[in-house]
Amino acid sequence: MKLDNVALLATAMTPFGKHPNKTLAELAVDAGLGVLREAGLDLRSVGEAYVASMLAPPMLGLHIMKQIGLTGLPVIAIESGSASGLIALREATYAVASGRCEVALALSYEHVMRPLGGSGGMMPGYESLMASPASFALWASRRMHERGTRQSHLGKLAAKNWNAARNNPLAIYRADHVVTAEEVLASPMVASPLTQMMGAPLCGGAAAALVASTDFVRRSRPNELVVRLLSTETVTETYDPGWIAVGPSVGPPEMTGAAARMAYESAGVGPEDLDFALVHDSWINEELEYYEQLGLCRPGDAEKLADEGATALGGRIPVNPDGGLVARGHAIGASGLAQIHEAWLQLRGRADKRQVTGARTALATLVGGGSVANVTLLQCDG
Amino acid sequence: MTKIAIEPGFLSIPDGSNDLPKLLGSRCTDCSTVFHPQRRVCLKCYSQLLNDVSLDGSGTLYACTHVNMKLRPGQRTTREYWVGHIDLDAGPRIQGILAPDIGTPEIGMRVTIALETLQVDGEGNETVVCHFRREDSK
Repeated sequence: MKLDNVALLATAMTPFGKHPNKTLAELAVDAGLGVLREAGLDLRSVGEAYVASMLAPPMLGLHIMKQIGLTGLPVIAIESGSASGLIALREATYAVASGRCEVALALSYEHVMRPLGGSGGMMPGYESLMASPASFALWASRRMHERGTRQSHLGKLAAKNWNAARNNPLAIYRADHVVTAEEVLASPMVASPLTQMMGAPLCGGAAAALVASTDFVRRSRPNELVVRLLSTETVTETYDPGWIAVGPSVGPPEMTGAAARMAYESAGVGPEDLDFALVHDSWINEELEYYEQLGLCRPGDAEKLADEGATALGGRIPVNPDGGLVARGHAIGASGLAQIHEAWLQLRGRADKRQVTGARTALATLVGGGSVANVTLLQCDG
Repeated sequence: MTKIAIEPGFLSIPDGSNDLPKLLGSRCTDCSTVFHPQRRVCLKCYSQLLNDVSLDGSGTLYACTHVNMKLRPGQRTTREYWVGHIDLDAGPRIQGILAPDIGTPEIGMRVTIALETLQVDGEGNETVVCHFRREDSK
Protein backbone atom coordinates (compact mmCIF):
# COMPACT_ATOMS: atom_id res chain seq x y z
CA MET A 1 0.00 0.00 0.00
CA LYS A 2 1.37 3.40 -0.99
CA LEU A 3 1.58 5.84 1.91
CA ASP A 4 1.68 9.54 1.21
CA ASN A 5 0.71 11.30 4.41
CA VAL A 6 2.37 9.43 7.30
CA ALA A 7 5.55 10.37 9.14
CA LEU A 8 7.42 9.67 12.34
CA LEU A 9 6.64 12.20 15.06
CA ALA A 10 9.15 10.90 17.60
CA THR A 11 11.00 7.76 18.74
CA ALA A 12 12.59 6.62 21.98
CA MET A 13 14.35 3.56 23.31
CA THR A 14 15.90 2.33 26.54
CA PRO A 15 19.35 0.84 26.61
CA PHE A 16 19.35 -2.81 25.50
CA GLY A 17 20.78 -5.12 28.13
CA LYS A 18 19.97 -7.49 30.96
CA HIS A 19 18.20 -4.95 33.17
CA PRO A 20 18.26 -7.10 36.32
CA ASN A 21 16.76 -4.30 38.42
CA LYS A 22 13.88 -3.32 36.15
CA THR A 23 10.62 -5.04 35.46
CA LEU A 24 9.30 -5.44 31.95
CA ALA A 25 6.53 -2.94 32.70
CA GLU A 26 9.04 -0.37 33.98
CA LEU A 27 11.08 -0.67 30.80
CA ALA A 28 7.96 -0.28 28.67
CA VAL A 29 6.73 2.76 30.57
CA ASP A 30 10.20 4.33 30.25
CA ALA A 31 9.97 4.04 26.46
CA GLY A 32 6.31 5.08 26.32
CA LEU A 33 6.81 8.21 28.39
CA GLY A 34 10.10 8.83 26.61
CA VAL A 35 8.53 9.01 23.18
CA LEU A 36 5.72 11.28 24.39
CA ARG A 37 8.31 13.58 26.00
CA GLU A 38 10.30 13.65 22.77
CA ALA A 39 7.12 14.72 20.94
CA GLY A 40 6.11 17.23 23.62
CA LEU A 41 2.76 15.49 24.08
CA ASP A 42 0.87 13.39 26.57
CA LEU A 43 -1.38 10.44 25.89
CA ARG A 44 -4.41 12.63 25.24
CA SER A 45 -3.03 13.36 21.77
CA VAL A 46 -2.72 9.67 20.84
CA GLY A 47 -5.65 8.06 19.04
CA GLU A 48 -4.59 4.40 19.06
CA ALA A 49 -1.82 2.33 20.64
CA TYR A 50 -0.19 -0.86 19.36
CA VAL A 51 1.81 -2.71 22.01
CA ALA A 52 4.16 -5.51 21.03
CA SER A 53 6.25 -8.20 22.68
CA MET A 54 6.99 -11.85 22.05
CA LEU A 55 7.30 -13.10 25.63
CA ALA A 56 5.20 -10.73 27.73
CA PRO A 57 2.53 -12.30 29.92
CA PRO A 58 -1.14 -11.92 28.91
CA MET A 59 -2.74 -8.49 29.38
CA LEU A 60 0.55 -6.77 30.21
CA GLY A 61 0.20 -4.32 27.32
CA LEU A 62 -3.06 -2.95 28.71
CA HIS A 63 -1.52 -2.73 32.18
CA ILE A 64 1.45 -0.79 30.81
CA MET A 65 -0.72 1.65 28.89
CA LYS A 66 -2.76 2.35 32.03
CA GLN A 67 0.42 3.63 33.65
CA ILE A 68 0.92 6.06 30.78
CA GLY A 69 -2.63 7.40 30.86
CA LEU A 70 -6.33 6.61 31.13
CA THR A 71 -7.75 8.22 28.04
CA GLY A 72 -9.87 5.29 26.92
CA LEU A 73 -7.94 4.85 23.67
CA PRO A 74 -7.95 1.49 21.86
CA VAL A 75 -4.91 -0.61 22.82
CA ILE A 76 -4.13 -3.56 20.55
CA ALA A 77 -1.54 -6.18 21.48
CA ILE A 78 0.68 -7.72 18.80
CA GLU A 79 2.93 -10.77 18.82
CA SER A 80 4.88 -11.62 15.69
CA GLY A 81 8.09 -13.03 17.12
CA SER A 82 11.20 -10.96 16.50
CA ALA A 83 9.30 -8.86 13.96
CA SER A 84 6.73 -7.70 16.56
CA GLY A 85 8.05 -4.13 16.79
CA LEU A 86 7.91 -3.53 13.04
CA ILE A 87 4.44 -5.05 12.88
CA ALA A 88 3.29 -2.66 15.65
CA LEU A 89 4.71 0.20 13.59
CA ARG A 90 2.84 -1.11 10.55
CA GLU A 91 -0.46 -1.08 12.40
CA ALA A 92 0.16 2.38 13.87
CA THR A 93 1.05 3.59 10.38
CA TYR A 94 -2.15 2.22 8.87
CA ALA A 95 -4.20 3.67 11.74
CA VAL A 96 -2.97 7.10 10.66
CA ALA A 97 -3.03 6.40 6.92
CA SER A 98 -6.65 5.26 7.12
CA GLY A 99 -7.67 8.48 8.82
CA ARG A 100 -8.79 6.72 11.99
CA CYS A 101 -6.51 8.93 14.05
CA GLU A 102 -3.96 11.68 13.60
CA VAL A 103 -1.38 10.24 16.02
CA ALA A 104 -0.76 6.56 16.84
CA LEU A 105 1.71 4.94 19.21
CA ALA A 106 3.77 1.80 18.61
CA LEU A 107 5.34 0.56 21.84
CA SER A 108 7.43 -2.60 22.16
CA TYR A 109 9.17 -4.21 25.10
CA GLU A 110 10.91 -7.39 26.13
CA HIS A 111 12.62 -8.79 29.18
CA VAL A 112 14.28 -12.17 28.92
CA MET A 113 15.21 -12.55 32.59
CA ARG A 114 11.96 -11.93 34.41
CA PRO A 115 8.86 -13.02 32.54
CA LEU A 116 10.08 -16.48 31.69
CA GLY A 117 12.35 -19.11 33.09
CA GLY A 118 13.51 -20.27 29.70
CA SER A 119 12.06 -20.18 26.24
CA GLY A 120 11.93 -23.95 25.81
CA GLY A 121 8.52 -25.48 25.71
CA MET A 122 7.15 -22.63 23.61
CA MET A 123 6.28 -25.14 20.96
CA PRO A 124 5.27 -28.78 21.13
CA GLY A 125 8.00 -31.34 21.74
CA TYR A 126 8.96 -32.17 18.20
CA GLU A 127 9.16 -28.51 17.18
CA SER A 128 11.31 -27.42 20.13
CA LEU A 129 13.62 -30.43 20.03
CA MET A 130 16.29 -28.68 18.03
CA ALA A 131 17.91 -25.42 19.12
CA SER A 132 16.96 -22.46 16.95
CA PRO A 133 20.55 -21.59 15.90
CA ALA A 134 20.43 -24.82 13.92
CA SER A 135 17.93 -23.30 11.48
CA PHE A 136 20.30 -20.52 10.51
CA ALA A 137 23.35 -22.78 10.59
CA LEU A 138 21.58 -24.99 8.05
CA TRP A 139 21.13 -21.99 5.75
CA ALA A 140 24.83 -21.27 6.16
CA SER A 141 25.76 -24.89 5.50
CA ARG A 142 23.88 -24.93 2.22
CA ARG A 143 25.17 -21.54 1.13
CA MET A 144 28.77 -22.60 1.76
CA HIS A 145 28.12 -25.72 -0.34
CA GLU A 146 26.50 -23.85 -3.22
CA ARG A 147 28.30 -20.50 -3.23
CA GLY A 148 31.66 -21.13 -1.66
CA THR A 149 30.90 -18.79 1.23
CA ARG A 150 33.71 -18.99 3.78
CA GLN A 151 33.43 -18.76 7.53
CA SER A 152 35.73 -15.74 7.29
CA HIS A 153 32.99 -13.83 5.43
CA LEU A 154 30.73 -14.34 8.42
CA GLY A 155 33.52 -13.30 10.77
CA LYS A 156 34.08 -10.06 8.88
CA LEU A 157 30.41 -9.10 8.95
CA ALA A 158 29.98 -9.90 12.63
CA ALA A 159 33.11 -7.86 13.45
CA LYS A 160 31.63 -4.97 11.45
CA ASN A 161 28.52 -4.99 13.65
CA TRP A 162 30.50 -5.39 16.88
CA ASN A 163 32.59 -2.36 15.92
CA ALA A 164 29.53 -0.33 14.94
CA ALA A 165 28.04 -0.92 18.39
CA ARG A 166 31.12 0.63 19.99
CA ASN A 167 29.63 3.99 18.94
CA ASN A 168 26.10 3.23 20.14
CA PRO A 169 25.57 4.18 23.80
CA LEU A 170 22.37 2.10 23.94
CA ALA A 171 24.00 -1.14 22.70
CA ILE A 172 24.44 -4.15 24.98
CA TYR A 173 27.97 -4.81 23.70
CA ARG A 174 30.44 -1.93 23.50
CA ALA A 175 33.82 -3.55 23.01
CA ASP A 176 36.80 -1.66 24.41
CA HIS A 177 38.91 -2.59 21.38
CA VAL A 178 38.55 -3.03 17.64
CA VAL A 179 36.96 -6.44 17.12
CA THR A 180 38.56 -8.52 14.37
CA ALA A 181 37.14 -11.29 12.23
CA GLU A 182 39.71 -13.60 13.81
CA GLU A 183 38.31 -12.86 17.29
CA VAL A 184 34.80 -13.66 16.07
CA LEU A 185 35.99 -16.94 14.55
CA ALA A 186 37.84 -17.89 17.74
CA SER A 187 34.75 -17.52 19.96
CA PRO A 188 33.02 -20.79 20.95
CA MET A 189 31.23 -22.69 18.20
CA VAL A 190 27.44 -22.77 18.65
CA ALA A 191 26.24 -24.50 15.49
CA SER A 192 28.82 -24.96 12.77
CA PRO A 193 29.81 -22.67 11.07
CA LEU A 194 28.27 -20.14 13.47
CA THR A 195 30.26 -19.01 16.50
CA GLN A 196 28.98 -17.24 19.60
CA MET A 197 30.06 -13.77 18.42
CA MET A 198 28.07 -14.26 15.19
CA GLY A 199 24.80 -14.55 17.11
CA ALA A 200 22.58 -11.94 18.72
CA PRO A 201 22.34 -11.87 22.52
CA LEU A 202 18.73 -12.07 23.66
CA CYS A 203 18.22 -9.22 26.08
CA GLY A 204 15.74 -6.78 27.55
CA GLY A 205 14.77 -3.34 26.42
CA ALA A 206 11.92 -1.22 25.12
CA ALA A 207 11.46 1.08 22.17
CA ALA A 208 8.63 3.24 20.90
CA ALA A 209 7.58 5.36 17.95
CA LEU A 210 4.83 7.90 17.48
CA VAL A 211 3.39 8.03 13.99
CA ALA A 212 1.34 10.97 12.77
CA SER A 213 0.00 12.56 9.64
CA THR A 214 2.67 14.54 7.82
CA ASP A 215 0.64 17.71 8.40
CA PHE A 216 0.57 17.06 12.15
CA VAL A 217 4.34 16.49 12.20
CA ARG A 218 4.98 19.71 10.27
CA ARG A 219 2.79 21.66 12.72
CA SER A 220 4.38 20.01 15.77
CA ARG A 221 7.95 20.28 14.59
CA PRO A 222 8.19 23.41 12.45
CA ASN A 223 11.51 23.94 10.69
CA GLU A 224 12.57 20.34 11.37
CA LEU A 225 13.27 17.57 8.88
CA VAL A 226 10.26 15.28 8.34
CA VAL A 227 10.90 11.51 8.33
CA ARG A 228 8.18 10.01 6.17
CA LEU A 229 7.06 6.39 6.24
CA LEU A 230 7.06 5.44 2.57
CA SER A 231 5.85 1.86 2.92
CA THR A 232 5.63 -1.06 5.31
CA GLU A 233 4.98 -4.49 3.86
CA THR A 234 4.56 -7.80 5.64
CA VAL A 235 4.55 -11.37 4.33
CA THR A 236 4.38 -14.87 5.76
CA GLU A 237 5.59 -18.08 4.14
CA THR A 238 4.49 -19.35 0.78
CA TYR A 239 4.78 -22.96 -0.29
CA ASP A 240 7.66 -24.13 -2.40
CA PRO A 241 9.03 -27.64 -2.84
CA GLY A 242 11.91 -26.96 -0.42
CA TRP A 243 9.56 -25.76 2.31
CA ILE A 244 10.42 -27.13 5.76
CA ALA A 245 7.36 -27.70 7.93
CA VAL A 246 8.96 -28.84 11.16
CA GLY A 247 11.48 -27.25 13.47
CA PRO A 248 11.91 -23.78 14.91
CA SER A 249 12.21 -22.44 11.42
CA VAL A 250 12.47 -18.90 10.18
CA GLY A 251 12.39 -18.31 6.53
CA PRO A 252 13.24 -19.06 3.87
CA PRO A 253 15.31 -15.92 3.14
CA GLU A 254 13.18 -15.33 0.06
CA MET A 255 10.41 -14.10 2.39
CA THR A 256 12.45 -10.96 3.00
CA GLY A 257 12.94 -10.60 -0.74
CA ALA A 258 9.20 -10.81 -1.33
CA ALA A 259 8.46 -8.17 1.30
CA ALA A 260 11.22 -5.93 -0.08
CA ARG A 261 9.87 -6.07 -3.63
CA MET A 262 6.44 -5.08 -2.33
CA ALA A 263 7.88 -2.29 -0.19
CA TYR A 264 9.99 -0.85 -3.03
CA GLU A 265 7.03 -0.93 -5.41
CA SER A 266 4.68 0.72 -2.89
CA ALA A 267 7.22 3.42 -2.08
CA GLY A 268 8.39 4.08 -5.63
CA VAL A 269 12.02 3.75 -4.60
CA GLY A 270 14.56 1.02 -5.24
CA PRO A 271 17.58 -0.42 -3.48
CA GLU A 272 19.80 2.02 -5.38
CA ASP A 273 18.08 4.87 -3.50
CA LEU A 274 18.98 3.54 -0.04
CA ASP A 275 21.60 5.31 2.05
CA PHE A 276 21.68 2.62 4.76
CA ALA A 277 19.77 -0.45 5.91
CA LEU A 278 18.87 -2.02 9.25
CA VAL A 279 18.76 -5.75 8.67
CA HIS A 280 17.88 -8.85 10.68
CA ASP A 281 21.08 -10.52 11.89
CA SER A 282 20.07 -12.78 14.74
CA TRP A 283 22.80 -14.91 13.17
CA ILE A 284 25.19 -13.05 10.90
CA ASN A 285 24.74 -15.28 7.85
CA GLU A 286 21.22 -13.88 7.60
CA GLU A 287 22.68 -10.45 6.88
CA LEU A 288 24.63 -11.99 4.00
CA GLU A 289 21.48 -13.60 2.56
CA TYR A 290 19.48 -10.40 2.88
CA TYR A 291 22.04 -8.31 0.96
CA GLU A 292 20.87 -10.19 -2.09
CA GLN A 293 17.21 -10.45 -1.11
CA LEU A 294 17.02 -6.68 -0.55
CA GLY A 295 18.80 -5.93 -3.82
CA LEU A 296 21.83 -4.33 -2.14
CA CYS A 297 23.88 -6.41 -4.58
CA ARG A 298 23.27 -8.85 -7.40
CA PRO A 299 22.53 -12.49 -6.52
CA GLY A 300 25.84 -14.20 -5.81
CA ASP A 301 27.69 -10.98 -4.93
CA ALA A 302 26.99 -10.84 -1.19
CA GLU A 303 30.37 -12.31 -0.28
CA LYS A 304 32.01 -9.68 -2.49
CA LEU A 305 30.17 -6.99 -0.52
CA ALA A 306 31.55 -8.50 2.68
CA ASP A 307 35.09 -8.70 1.27
CA GLU A 308 35.00 -5.07 0.12
CA GLY A 309 33.66 -3.75 3.41
CA ALA A 310 30.89 -2.08 1.41
CA THR A 311 28.37 -2.41 4.23
CA ALA A 312 30.52 -0.85 6.96
CA LEU A 313 30.10 2.79 7.98
CA GLY A 314 31.70 4.79 5.17
CA GLY A 315 31.10 2.01 2.64
CA ARG A 316 28.76 2.08 -0.37
CA ILE A 317 25.70 0.96 1.60
CA PRO A 318 26.16 0.79 5.39
CA VAL A 319 24.18 -2.01 7.05
CA ASN A 320 23.39 -2.02 10.76
CA PRO A 321 25.29 1.13 11.74
CA ASP A 322 23.80 0.73 15.25
CA GLY A 323 25.48 -2.67 15.72
CA GLY A 324 22.52 -4.77 14.56
CA LEU A 325 20.99 -7.51 16.63
CA VAL A 326 24.46 -9.06 16.97
CA ALA A 327 25.91 -6.24 19.07
CA ARG A 328 23.24 -3.64 19.77
CA GLY A 329 21.36 -6.62 21.18
CA HIS A 330 18.14 -8.43 20.37
CA ALA A 331 15.33 -7.49 22.71
CA ILE A 332 13.14 -9.70 20.53
CA GLY A 333 9.79 -7.88 20.21
CA ALA A 334 11.46 -4.51 20.84
CA SER A 335 14.16 -4.82 18.18
CA GLY A 336 12.02 -3.47 15.32
CA LEU A 337 11.31 -0.16 16.99
CA ALA A 338 14.98 0.05 18.03
CA GLN A 339 15.73 -0.03 14.30
CA ILE A 340 13.19 2.74 13.75
CA HIS A 341 14.81 4.78 16.53
CA GLU A 342 18.14 4.39 14.74
CA ALA A 343 16.57 5.43 11.43
CA TRP A 344 15.04 8.49 13.13
CA LEU A 345 18.45 9.56 14.47
CA GLN A 346 20.30 8.86 11.24
CA LEU A 347 17.80 10.54 8.92
CA ARG A 348 17.79 13.66 11.08
CA GLY A 349 21.60 13.74 11.22
CA ARG A 350 21.77 13.02 14.95
CA ALA A 351 23.61 9.70 15.09
CA ASP A 352 26.88 11.24 16.30
CA LYS A 353 29.95 9.08 15.65
CA ARG A 354 28.00 6.49 13.70
CA GLN A 355 26.26 8.99 11.41
CA VAL A 356 25.85 7.86 7.79
CA THR A 357 26.82 10.99 5.88
CA GLY A 358 23.91 12.54 3.99
CA ALA A 359 21.50 9.76 4.92
CA ARG A 360 18.09 10.42 3.37
CA THR A 361 16.46 7.05 2.59
CA ALA A 362 16.52 4.01 4.87
CA LEU A 363 15.24 0.44 5.01
CA ALA A 364 14.45 -1.57 8.13
CA THR A 365 13.67 -5.28 8.02
CA LEU A 366 13.14 -8.09 10.48
CA VAL A 367 11.89 -11.62 10.31
CA GLY A 368 9.99 -13.34 13.07
CA GLY A 369 9.82 -17.00 13.94
CA GLY A 370 6.74 -18.76 12.82
CA SER A 371 7.42 -17.12 10.36
CA VAL A 372 6.87 -13.55 9.14
CA ALA A 373 8.94 -10.83 7.44
CA ASN A 374 8.47 -7.07 7.32
CA VAL A 375 10.26 -4.44 5.25
CA THR A 376 9.75 -0.76 6.11
CA LEU A 377 11.04 2.19 4.06
CA LEU A 378 11.59 5.66 5.45
CA GLN A 379 12.71 8.88 3.81
CA CYS A 380 13.65 12.30 5.05
CA ASP A 381 12.16 15.32 3.28
CA GLY A 382 14.53 18.10 2.41
CA MET B 1 7.54 -51.43 28.41
CA THR B 2 6.62 -49.52 25.30
CA LYS B 3 8.18 -47.03 22.95
CA ILE B 4 6.41 -43.69 22.88
CA ALA B 5 7.16 -41.01 20.27
CA ILE B 6 8.10 -37.66 21.74
CA GLU B 7 4.97 -36.23 20.16
CA PRO B 8 2.10 -38.07 18.46
CA GLY B 9 1.46 -37.67 14.77
CA PHE B 10 5.00 -37.58 13.40
CA LEU B 11 6.26 -41.12 13.52
CA SER B 12 5.04 -44.71 13.39
CA ILE B 13 6.97 -47.07 15.62
CA PRO B 14 7.43 -50.57 14.22
CA ASP B 15 6.41 -53.70 16.14
CA GLY B 16 9.36 -55.80 15.03
CA SER B 17 12.82 -54.75 16.18
CA ASN B 18 14.23 -55.16 12.67
CA ASP B 19 11.62 -52.97 10.99
CA LEU B 20 12.33 -49.31 10.28
CA PRO B 21 10.11 -46.56 11.66
CA LYS B 22 8.08 -44.58 9.14
CA LEU B 23 7.30 -40.90 8.99
CA LEU B 24 3.62 -40.02 9.09
CA GLY B 25 2.55 -37.75 6.27
CA SER B 26 -0.22 -36.78 3.90
CA ARG B 27 -0.64 -37.11 0.12
CA CYS B 28 -2.96 -34.77 -1.76
CA THR B 29 -5.43 -36.77 -3.83
CA ASP B 30 -5.76 -33.91 -6.33
CA CYS B 31 -2.15 -32.87 -7.04
CA SER B 32 -0.22 -35.79 -5.42
CA THR B 33 2.03 -33.50 -3.34
CA VAL B 34 3.35 -35.28 -0.25
CA PHE B 35 3.80 -33.56 3.11
CA HIS B 36 5.44 -34.35 6.42
CA PRO B 37 4.10 -33.91 9.01
CA GLN B 38 0.43 -34.51 8.26
CA ARG B 39 -1.61 -31.64 6.87
CA ARG B 40 -5.35 -30.92 6.76
CA VAL B 41 -5.10 -28.84 3.61
CA CYS B 42 -2.80 -29.17 0.62
CA LEU B 43 -0.46 -26.18 0.79
CA LYS B 44 0.12 -26.36 -2.95
CA CYS B 45 -3.40 -26.64 -4.42
CA TYR B 46 -5.61 -26.07 -1.34
CA SER B 47 -7.51 -29.33 -1.73
CA GLN B 48 -8.77 -30.74 1.56
CA LEU B 49 -8.80 -34.27 0.17
CA LEU B 50 -5.62 -35.69 1.63
CA ASN B 51 -4.82 -39.27 2.53
CA ASP B 52 -2.69 -40.30 5.48
CA VAL B 53 0.48 -42.01 4.28
CA SER B 54 3.53 -43.61 5.87
CA LEU B 55 6.75 -42.40 4.32
CA ASP B 56 10.01 -44.27 3.99
CA GLY B 57 12.72 -42.39 5.84
CA SER B 58 15.39 -42.62 3.17
CA GLY B 59 16.82 -39.63 1.46
CA THR B 60 19.72 -37.34 0.64
CA LEU B 61 21.34 -34.86 2.99
CA TYR B 62 20.73 -31.29 1.75
CA ALA B 63 22.42 -29.31 4.56
CA CYS B 64 23.88 -30.06 8.00
CA THR B 65 25.27 -28.44 11.12
CA HIS B 66 26.87 -29.66 14.34
CA VAL B 67 25.07 -28.05 17.26
CA ASN B 68 27.19 -27.57 20.38
CA MET B 69 24.12 -27.46 22.60
CA LYS B 70 22.24 -30.29 24.21
CA LEU B 71 19.38 -31.87 22.34
CA ARG B 72 16.34 -30.98 24.37
CA PRO B 73 13.06 -32.83 24.69
CA GLY B 74 11.33 -30.05 26.57
CA GLN B 75 14.03 -28.90 28.98
CA ARG B 76 15.87 -32.22 29.47
CA THR B 77 19.31 -32.56 28.00
CA THR B 78 20.91 -35.55 26.39
CA ARG B 79 23.67 -34.97 23.87
CA GLU B 80 25.21 -32.58 21.36
CA TYR B 81 24.09 -33.40 17.89
CA TRP B 82 24.23 -32.99 14.16
CA VAL B 83 21.04 -31.83 12.49
CA GLY B 84 20.26 -31.83 8.80
CA HIS B 85 17.81 -31.00 6.10
CA ILE B 86 16.99 -34.20 4.26
CA ASP B 87 15.36 -34.51 0.86
CA LEU B 88 13.26 -37.64 1.35
CA ASP B 89 12.93 -39.97 -1.64
CA ALA B 90 9.21 -39.83 -0.82
CA GLY B 91 9.08 -36.13 -1.64
CA PRO B 92 9.28 -33.57 1.14
CA ARG B 93 12.37 -31.89 2.53
CA ILE B 94 12.44 -32.34 6.29
CA GLN B 95 14.59 -31.33 9.23
CA GLY B 96 15.94 -34.10 11.42
CA ILE B 97 18.69 -34.98 13.86
CA LEU B 98 21.49 -37.24 12.70
CA ALA B 99 22.72 -40.36 14.48
CA PRO B 100 25.32 -39.87 17.25
CA ASP B 101 27.80 -42.04 15.30
CA ILE B 102 27.28 -40.22 11.98
CA GLY B 103 30.92 -39.04 11.96
CA THR B 104 31.34 -35.98 9.77
CA PRO B 105 28.38 -35.93 7.40
CA GLU B 106 28.69 -34.60 3.86
CA ILE B 107 26.02 -32.80 1.89
CA GLY B 108 24.72 -35.20 -0.77
CA MET B 109 25.27 -38.36 1.29
CA ARG B 110 22.51 -40.97 1.56
CA VAL B 111 20.78 -41.32 4.95
CA THR B 112 18.02 -43.47 6.37
CA ILE B 113 15.80 -43.37 9.43
CA ALA B 114 16.25 -45.14 12.80
CA LEU B 115 14.88 -44.78 16.33
CA GLU B 116 16.74 -43.13 19.19
CA THR B 117 15.72 -43.39 22.84
CA LEU B 118 15.77 -40.01 24.56
CA GLN B 119 14.84 -41.25 28.04
CA VAL B 120 13.46 -44.24 29.93
CA ASP B 121 10.98 -43.86 32.80
CA GLY B 122 10.81 -45.95 36.00
CA GLU B 123 8.61 -48.55 34.32
CA GLY B 124 10.93 -48.99 31.37
CA ASN B 125 8.84 -46.97 28.91
CA GLU B 126 11.02 -45.27 26.33
CA THR B 127 10.50 -41.81 24.87
CA VAL B 128 11.84 -42.07 21.33
CA VAL B 129 12.61 -39.79 18.43
CA CYS B 130 13.80 -40.65 14.95
CA HIS B 131 17.22 -39.80 13.69
CA PHE B 132 19.01 -40.36 10.40
CA ARG B 133 22.08 -42.52 9.95
CA ARG B 134 24.34 -43.30 7.02
CA GLU B 135 22.39 -45.54 4.66
CA ASP B 136 25.14 -48.14 4.58
CA SER B 137 25.61 -48.31 8.38
CA LYS B 138 23.83 -50.71 10.71
